[in-house]
Amino acid sequence: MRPTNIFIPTPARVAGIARETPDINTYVFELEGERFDYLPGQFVELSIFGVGEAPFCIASSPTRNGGIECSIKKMGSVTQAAHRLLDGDVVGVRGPYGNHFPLDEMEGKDILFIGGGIGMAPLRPAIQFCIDRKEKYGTILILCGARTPADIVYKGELEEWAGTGDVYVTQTVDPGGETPGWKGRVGLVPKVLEEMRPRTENCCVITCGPPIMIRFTLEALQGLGFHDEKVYTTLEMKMKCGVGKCGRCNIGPLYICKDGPVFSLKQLKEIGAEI
Amino acid sequence: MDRKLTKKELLKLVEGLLSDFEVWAPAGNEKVYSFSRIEKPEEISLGYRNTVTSPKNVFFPSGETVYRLMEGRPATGEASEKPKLILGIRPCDARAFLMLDKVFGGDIEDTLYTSKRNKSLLVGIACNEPSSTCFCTSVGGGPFSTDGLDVLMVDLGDGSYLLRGLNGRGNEIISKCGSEADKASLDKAESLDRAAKEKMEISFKPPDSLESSEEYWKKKAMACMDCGICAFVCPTCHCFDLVDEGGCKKRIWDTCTFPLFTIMTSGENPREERRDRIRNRVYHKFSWFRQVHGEIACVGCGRCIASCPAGIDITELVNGNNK
Amino acid sequence: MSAIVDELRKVAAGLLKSGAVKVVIGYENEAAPRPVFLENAEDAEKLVWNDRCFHNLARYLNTTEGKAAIVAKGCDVRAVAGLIREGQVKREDVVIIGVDCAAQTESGEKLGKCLVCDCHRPEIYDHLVEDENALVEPQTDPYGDVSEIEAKPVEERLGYWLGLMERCIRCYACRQVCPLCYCKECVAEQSLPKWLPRSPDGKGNLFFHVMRAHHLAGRCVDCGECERVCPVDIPIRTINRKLIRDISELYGYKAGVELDVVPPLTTFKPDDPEDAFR
Repeated sequence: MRPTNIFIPTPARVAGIARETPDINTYVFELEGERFDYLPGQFVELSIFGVGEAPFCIASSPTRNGGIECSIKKMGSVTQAAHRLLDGDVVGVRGPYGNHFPLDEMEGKDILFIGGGIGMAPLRPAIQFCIDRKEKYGTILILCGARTPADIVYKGELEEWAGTGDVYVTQTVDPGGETPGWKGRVGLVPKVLEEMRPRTENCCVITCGPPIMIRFTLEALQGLGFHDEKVYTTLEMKMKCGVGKCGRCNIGPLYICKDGPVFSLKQLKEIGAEI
Repeated sequence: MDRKLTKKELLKLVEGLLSDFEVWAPAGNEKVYSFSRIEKPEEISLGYRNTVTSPKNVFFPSGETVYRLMEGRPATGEASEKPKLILGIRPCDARAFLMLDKVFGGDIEDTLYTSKRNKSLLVGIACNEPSSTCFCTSVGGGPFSTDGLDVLMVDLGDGSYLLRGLNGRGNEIISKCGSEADKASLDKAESLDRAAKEKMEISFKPPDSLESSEEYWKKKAMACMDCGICAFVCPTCHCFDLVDEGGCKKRIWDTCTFPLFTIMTSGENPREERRDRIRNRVYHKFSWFRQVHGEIACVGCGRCIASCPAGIDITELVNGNNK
Repeated sequence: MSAIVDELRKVAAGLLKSGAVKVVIGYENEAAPRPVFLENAEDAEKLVWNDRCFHNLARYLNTTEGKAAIVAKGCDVRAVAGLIREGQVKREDVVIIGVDCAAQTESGEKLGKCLVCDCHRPEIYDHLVEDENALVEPQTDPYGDVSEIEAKPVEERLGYWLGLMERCIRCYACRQVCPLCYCKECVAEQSLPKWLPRSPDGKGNLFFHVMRAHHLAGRCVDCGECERVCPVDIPIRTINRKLIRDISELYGYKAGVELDVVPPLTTFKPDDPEDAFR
């Protein structure tokens, strides 16, 4: 049989829309035809037919057996069109692409998740995955930052996670972003992280957020004594084909879409990525 | 297998090929030669030095439909086509396809390319007269290189051609035409090969490590105007974009020299600076492709040098400050 | 010829030595001149001048850092004037080294634009490198080819252009080389809204080129760079010159000649002949 065209997406129906923040929605997509296997950290190319295609991390864990979920922030032409989607609308999904968080290697260890804004989206499947298989992991710490309380994604789930045994959630908003009644912390993510003084022993870190947050968070982590090979992040790069051919997302000889998007801080330093 | 053909016999051979193959060959007006699909043998022009654009458009067109939307869904079903035959391809361009094969083939096969490329036949023409911008011999090729070819033709200069079959499929198409090549013709081809190599004006050994300083690339990139000529005329440049237009998903050429190539919706652009874009293009060809695939992704066709509106010469960029 | 080069080098060295400018944009490489950016007086020796100094260096004025001196032919100077007029470059931030130019040639033949040139001597300059031999009369009817195409029936004209436009590979060199195409984001690449398709085909390509010509109407100085660099030899100048002629006939305006005349398409008059504006 001739191999099929890799750029043809599988049609998928919108099976649920959750409003996370004023400009972020989470969509549930039910694939028509066969489901695919994936692991936390991988992404899909989502086609809004007639508008365009863009990469989104899969924001739901395979352990939940639901559809593919993507949290989409309204920004460019594709995401604006995504925000016009209604239940039952048909989109196209290609994937899964890229590597994944090494959650298998992290078994038996504590995990610290640090997310900022929409950067919580790639962490969510990993958090769900670890919570669903909690017996295999140690303590789970979650630090979630946003500009204002209204910009925090997965609000309900954060509460739910916090109510799970041996899972601790810290929420923070940027200084000046707090509103009356805000019960979480106030302060930028790297600063709150430093104040938290997490134990570095037997602990891995997974972080994602806006570039400026990542830069200072990685610095803070190093300051706290975390080893480079224990710290993972997922890179945001302009991606298009998802299969290492279109030439956009390279850092040196590596294609983020194929060789990433998940990298350890050690790998990032080796490839000379600007962080 | 070596056959000798008169021009007339060559045209007759092409006539025969037209029934079994979709034949692409250099054709055009006095200024712009490009590889076009031909219907009649007379349309072919073998007297050119090199086409302005490369033949990569045969398997990787500047714009092609990935799928059509039917009732809001991608419609599959590809029309089967005759196998493609490129006639009169230069040895440098044939080598370039071996590189594109690595990009579009591999673990994740890109069938848009491979469906056109598979079963294709490449009938090359040796370069008796390399251009002043040619440097194939510096990057592993040569004016009479047979890499990637099924048949190599040599213009013997007396109105006849030597056709050398390089494998079974190549032998098959030439077996019935012309006459067996005599020793004089073979000797002539050999001397043309030697002479062509001597005529190469540019010769260098690509350095193992390229210049890396920001200052160097800033200086070298100053004249660049961010157009896409170098990449679009290049036989190995393969960057592309996928766009939704006219009820279709289309694949179009794109290039790392365009400032917007890497810009993200957030406005962040990892290669905002021109120096980083030029550096990326040269590093990709002369360093990173080499690391991944074991060879340089430049075949020395010299098109980018000849067409650059700002006179930028890739061999100078590669060779650093020494040249 | 060498007296011109000597003077060019002397002027450039002087400007760099005195610190009057940070960079001199000129040509290097006698055999195939190309742009060069000189920052040291000693490097002025690199400057060359001959009849293959095609590039309109005005293209680089708003991308170079610091005050610049520019070697400019008559047509190039008109582009500099356009940039000044449009506020892209301040007059006091550019030193114009004007050079008399008879014609630029390719394979011994004068470029099309040079045959109809009426600005062999730059109109605006700070230093003028003179060459009395350069001051020749235009040879042919400047709009002959435009009239010829216009005379064709509309179907034929469309067929002619579509045939040419099918070759376009959207390398955007015409736009990138154009000193007056300085938009940070070209409508050709805008996605919100998307104005024209990016995939190359005859109609879309024609749309792009006609759109570009209209954005240059009353601004194009016919330096011909777009046509020179086009790798697939599309006669882009012809489109631009159709508009140059129309602007000239309708408004008696010629772009890039005077710094203090308001271009007709950037102004409004109550007696505009176009109904839509009244």
